[in-house]
Amino acid sequence: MVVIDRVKEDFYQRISSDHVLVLVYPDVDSLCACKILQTLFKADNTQYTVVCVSGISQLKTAFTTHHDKVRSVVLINCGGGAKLIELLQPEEHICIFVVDSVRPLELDNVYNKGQVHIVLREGEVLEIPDFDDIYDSDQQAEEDGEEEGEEFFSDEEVEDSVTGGKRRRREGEASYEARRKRHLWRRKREEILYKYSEFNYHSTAASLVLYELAWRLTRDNNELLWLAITGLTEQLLHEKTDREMYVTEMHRMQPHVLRLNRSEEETVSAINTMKINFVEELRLDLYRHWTIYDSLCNSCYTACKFKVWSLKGHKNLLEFLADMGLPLVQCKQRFSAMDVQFRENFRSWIDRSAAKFGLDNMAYGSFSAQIGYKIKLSAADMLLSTTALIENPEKSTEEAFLQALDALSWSNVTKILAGIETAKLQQAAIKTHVRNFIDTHQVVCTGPFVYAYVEEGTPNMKYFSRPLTLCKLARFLREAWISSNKRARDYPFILSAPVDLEKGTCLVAGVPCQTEETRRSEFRKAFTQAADRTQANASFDCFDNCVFEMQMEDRGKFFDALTALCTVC
Amino acid sequence: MTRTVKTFWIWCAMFGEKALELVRELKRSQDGNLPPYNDDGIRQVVEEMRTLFEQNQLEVRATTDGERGLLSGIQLRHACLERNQRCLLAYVHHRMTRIRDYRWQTGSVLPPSFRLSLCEQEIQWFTRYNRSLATYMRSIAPTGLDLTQHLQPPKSLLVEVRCLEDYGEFEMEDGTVVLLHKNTQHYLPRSQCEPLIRQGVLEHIH
Amino acid sequence: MSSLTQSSSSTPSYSSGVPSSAAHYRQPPAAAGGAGDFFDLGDILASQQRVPAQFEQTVYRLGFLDAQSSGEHIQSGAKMELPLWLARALGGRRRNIVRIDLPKQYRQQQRDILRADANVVDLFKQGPYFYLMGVKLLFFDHMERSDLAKSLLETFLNRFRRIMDTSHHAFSSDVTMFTTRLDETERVLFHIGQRSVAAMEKWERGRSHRIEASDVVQKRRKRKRED
Repeated sequence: MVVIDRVKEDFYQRISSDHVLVLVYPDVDSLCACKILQTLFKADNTQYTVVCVSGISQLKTAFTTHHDKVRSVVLINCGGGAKLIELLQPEEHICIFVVDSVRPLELDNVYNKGQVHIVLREGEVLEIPDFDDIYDSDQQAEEDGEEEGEEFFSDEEVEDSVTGGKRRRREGEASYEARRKRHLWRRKREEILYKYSEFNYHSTAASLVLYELAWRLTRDNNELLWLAITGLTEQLLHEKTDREMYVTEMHRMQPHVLRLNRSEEETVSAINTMKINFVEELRLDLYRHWTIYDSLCNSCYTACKFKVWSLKGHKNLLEFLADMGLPLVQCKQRFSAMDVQFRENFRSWIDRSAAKFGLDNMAYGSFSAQIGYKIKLSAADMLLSTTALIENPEKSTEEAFLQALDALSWSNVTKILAGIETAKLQQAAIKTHVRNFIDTHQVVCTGPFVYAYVEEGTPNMKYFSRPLTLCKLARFLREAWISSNKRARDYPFILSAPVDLEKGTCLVAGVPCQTEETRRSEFRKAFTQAADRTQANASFDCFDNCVFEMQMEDRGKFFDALTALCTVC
Repeated sequence: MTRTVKTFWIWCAMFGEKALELVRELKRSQDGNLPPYNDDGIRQVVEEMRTLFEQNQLEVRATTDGERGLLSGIQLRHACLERNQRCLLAYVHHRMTRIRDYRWQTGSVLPPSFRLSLCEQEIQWFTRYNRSLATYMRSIAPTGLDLTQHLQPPKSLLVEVRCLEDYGEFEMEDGTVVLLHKNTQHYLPRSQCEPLIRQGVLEHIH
Repeated sequence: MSSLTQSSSSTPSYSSGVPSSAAHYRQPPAAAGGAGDFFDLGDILASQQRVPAQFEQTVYRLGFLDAQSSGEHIQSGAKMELPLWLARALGGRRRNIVRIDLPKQYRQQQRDILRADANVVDLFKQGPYFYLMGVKLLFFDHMERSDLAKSLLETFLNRFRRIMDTSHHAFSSDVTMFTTRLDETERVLFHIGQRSVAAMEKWERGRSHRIEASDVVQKRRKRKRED
């Protein structure tokens, strides 16, 4: 079992003398992890190549085109769940290191004897079945059988031929025993494998693993810390991990933040420095860069609590603003342009009024960064901006990926601000869409799950043909639907949107139900089974376990099959 | 003789107009591409020069034969000849300077788009210039010194570059081969990336 | 003045940041009013501008040059507008085939206007190479020579301040309104000013050590974007 937990010696020092190929999945956590790794490589003058891969086929293509030029390959958030040796067939001298937050990891990768290495944070323990339960036993059973046979032959030489008949019976019995043992072992193995791969979930973010590496190499600084924080925030806000795990990780980050941001005299703040501190962040998206009113209407949490698409909900919202003491005129101005007294007291007023209006979970612990004098960003702002940049509909995935990678370096902070503007458009588009869905009653509750389709030809459809944004829309829609239909709380939500009109494919995304605390989902298994049953033309290429692509005409029968499957379970 | 000359130039109020057009063409294109070699224009100017020269010769002979008052005409034509010569020389010289600058900025390989604008002799000149430059660079140091590299002082050994086009395989000095695919990012030795950056295949990311 | 013409020939070297050989190889500066830089395209175009001239001798068999008469010869006393290079060859210090007069834009009336306020005059309209041409006119021996020289210098000094100010501080596209009123020499200075400000800003943002694609490639990209 080659699992690396001594990241410095077994991972970094091995690769830093070669030319490294880094294959990265286009989501925020991987981007941050990639940036941290790039910074470390640059400090050590290690040559590298970065390629963006969004699915298994792309991973294979990238590997086969580049592989004979490199000796070490690092996969970030891609390939952990795929059988890498089988898929890529790397040569003897190539070493593949996987930094993946997706669980469960493919057992072939974990138990591989030298070419595939899984990089974990020090102290993390993988919950995997024993080696004996999955592998060797097969061979051993054969060997046992043979050994018994051999023993027999040696016995035979010693014993009389009178016992010939007995011998044959004993032979028959022994091999029957062996076969039965093997059969039982195989049944057990199947059960174990089924249980192992039943649920998909996420563990430590890749950016946190690599930040820890940077810390052990004493090369960490505020920039890398901020990247790690962004990766962690993605895990919370994109519902990859549960609240508890987030809080634990946050407490692990606190000492780093305190160490790197010792607040000396308050006046010392040069133009190029960044200071990170802990804040209680509101679940109001981008409110510092937007107007309060827009932010309240377009953030998932508040929009769904108030049900802003209905007249009554809208009135409720206005009452809330009035209760806080904020005049509407001020709320419709950019936050930075509001009067000083309103801006300063906003936090305390909202905390006070939130409980009255049922907004219990309004705040959560997070971090914010101050860069120079002008720019103040919270981790959530950073996340939204980077997501918007990665999934820019006007560019191809690779180009958008590289632009987003650029934006993460601090000399390009204007790009983050531009990303925030795009994110605002995206949020507004999402909310409009949700409102349409609710108004036109397009959400169907079939029993075991709730689903909806995004029709072809809807405006802003271009935003939703990418996985991250589609999942965002799904989450928003789920919250909105649940706010009117409380019983739908326990059901997962599945959303489908057209992605390529020429090929007639659509993207299907699933989000777990709201009450699911542990964020474990069974989507991958359920989707694969339903697709198999209906022989739908589906591709499970994407590394995100909750998203897959299929032909639009197969959609109807797929959902029927899925309904049937889920009612059985 | 005079009449034929007269009809030949009747549409042109002054000598040297065609030559001036060549100069104007080059001046206009200073911010853009080098225009193709204007074979036609040059031929016309040379034609004009020959006519003027022949006429002058006639008049010189006439003057030595005793005719008076022809000197001012000869003066005038001679001035025109000199003007045409100047324009032609400036044309060729300016193009030569631009081709030489091209070598220093972009490298010793002429892409087809640039090659189209050059005439045969200019291409030959470029090759010979390349050769003398290479000989000179080899002679400076025992291992040769590439003067066209590092035109700005380098700040680091390796640079981060992004690939803008599909270039294919790129072999580096130490033997490792990198595949330059569109939209990939690399961290490679500066000295070897510099020519590709100048050619526009790679983009230097800060 | 002629050193300005040198810089106009080496303009390409500033934009590339590459010290092109033209910038290093400077031809020895010719005397003002002399032949100028032989190969310089700007100089050639400058000496193309016309001056009014009067023929003092008859020139045989070149009557077609005179648009107003249709004779076979240019008669003595004929008035024509000749390009400067021709006028110089025919009417220089030792030759007197023609007699040169100052063109309209260099005469007393215009000089008075320039003395009053040089900044409002559109020098591009007065001949795109106002200064160069003016300097070349000083070659001829006529009465207003010293006056003309003084006027040229004064005009240049008065306008220079405004040019350098604008080039350093105006970044938006409304500078084109300003540059259309400058003559070629002043335009070169303006662009030098703008380039130096851009370079300074690049250095401040820490991008000065970025390797850039060569000029040719940048122009190609700009054209592709405009297409």
